[in-house]
Amino acid sequence: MSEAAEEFTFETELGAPPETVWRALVEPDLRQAWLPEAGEVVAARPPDELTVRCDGDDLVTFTIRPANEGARLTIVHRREAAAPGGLRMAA
Amino acid sequence: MAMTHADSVFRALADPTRRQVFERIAAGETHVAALTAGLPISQPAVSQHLATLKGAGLVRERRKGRRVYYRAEPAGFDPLVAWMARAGAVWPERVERLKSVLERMDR
Repeated sequence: MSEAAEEFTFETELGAPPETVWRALVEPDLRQAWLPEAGEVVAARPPDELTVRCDGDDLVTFTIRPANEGARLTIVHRREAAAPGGLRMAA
Repeated sequence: MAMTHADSVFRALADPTRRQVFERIAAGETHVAALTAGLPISQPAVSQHLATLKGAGLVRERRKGRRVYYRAEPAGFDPLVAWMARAGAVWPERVERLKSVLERMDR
């Protein structure tokens, strides 16, 4: 039985301009400071969409939109079911 | 969807005896008679628990000769892990760290 991938969406407003948020996402030193769990960049579409590997094989897509207070960040975390390295039961 | 899968896993593991049955299976593939031997419940009751665990995707069975063997399903916990990501503080915490980084960039 195969299971579909699971997706989880989280949204937040940030008090910084979209271009600053983009830098914090795309520059490795800056990203490492708040998301050390991030792996390789899978896709980048400046200035507002970035997809990275995270927590092993998961894919996380960040989308930046302008908002009243600065920027709205949407995070879509996609987990593949039964990925190796996930929670394992006794062998 | 993920919510439904997590519901059945939570329900399956809520019962202490059924949880004990699951823990024994997770420790190594086994069969109904062996499970019943160490528990204060009847074999039909064990079979009922096994059916619930199987329905929740936590165990899988295979037939070998005249016996049915049960083992833990490796992906069984996936709905719980996904639920933890949704209900837990994983992303809110990361966003707090992002906010700190953004503040430092602003200076």
